[in-house]
Amino acid sequence: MTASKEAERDARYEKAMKEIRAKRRADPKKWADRKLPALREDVTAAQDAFLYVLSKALYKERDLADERLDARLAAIDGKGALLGAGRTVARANIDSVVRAVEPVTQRRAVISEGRAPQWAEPLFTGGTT
Amino acid sequence: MFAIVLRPAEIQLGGALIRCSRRITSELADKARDAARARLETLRTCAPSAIAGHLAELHEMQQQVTSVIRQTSNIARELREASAILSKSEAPRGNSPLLHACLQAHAAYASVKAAVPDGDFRELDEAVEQLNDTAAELEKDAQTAKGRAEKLAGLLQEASVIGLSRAPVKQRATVAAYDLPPDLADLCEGQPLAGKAAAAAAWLDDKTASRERQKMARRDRQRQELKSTISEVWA
Repeated sequence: MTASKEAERDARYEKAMKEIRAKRRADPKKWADRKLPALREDVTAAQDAFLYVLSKALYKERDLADERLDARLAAIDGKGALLGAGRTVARANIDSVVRAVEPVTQRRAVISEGRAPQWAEPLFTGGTT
Repeated sequence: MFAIVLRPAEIQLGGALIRCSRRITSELADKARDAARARLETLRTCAPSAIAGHLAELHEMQQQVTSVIRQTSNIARELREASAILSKSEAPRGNSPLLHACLQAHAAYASVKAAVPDGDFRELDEAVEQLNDTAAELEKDAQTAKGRAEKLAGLLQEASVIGLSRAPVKQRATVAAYDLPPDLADLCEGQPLAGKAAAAAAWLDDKTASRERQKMARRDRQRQELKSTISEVWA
């Protein structure tokens, strides 16, 4: 659309709007619950405003995230990291020890490999000692 | 990986690897004793040429039992050491994956405890308790097994006497090399093989007679007790 045509159309639009406003002023009751057609500038302005608010919100959100991340990173300092790693290693090794000792606390006689001497076989075929 | 993966404690028994459990040693000693008793009867009636073979098997069994007791005691000692590392920060004398895992856990807990002195380390106390309990069970079991192994040694000495009294001339030297009961061993000292065999036969007769006498004496005693009870009741 060329600039002259656009201006022409805007002028037509303005004219129409003036008429509508005049009618509205003449009989406000009748026009009270009818919406006015939006002007092009109004729409553009509204869009700009919306984008502005949105970008503000997004910036704020990012700042907040950065702030939180900094705080979190500050909390995980050397001591914390050492503590977590130490605790994990300690726990894993203790669990390993407990798991290895656990079968010894049972009464069951189990052959892991090979075959027991004949005199000891009744112990294993019976299932329990 | 920062955690050492451990195999459960195992015991070598002849050609087999068995998982150590809290009663296995004494039960094995018990089964060995039963087997030895049965073998004594076999020795009294079997063909003389088979005697050396039977005795060799009996002694192999005794060695296996002794070895199992030793291994169980070693495992118990290892568990005690592991618990001492964790609870008393004692340096271990042994060198095994279990002790390594405990050392690593101890080092890690030491640093964590330094940072959080009032932290909750319940799992550490529980592990120490389990190690101590298990070690105590194994020590008790090994002790019971030792008592049974002593009885087994007595049975084996008797088996040697039976073997010596019945073995063919060719096998006498082999059989006489086994342990004999102390009183008979004194008698046999310096004797030729034939003399040893005769002494063994006499010892066996003597033993049978004394057992018979003991049995009679016990029966008499019981009869006497019964009589006195009856007389007390009727008095």
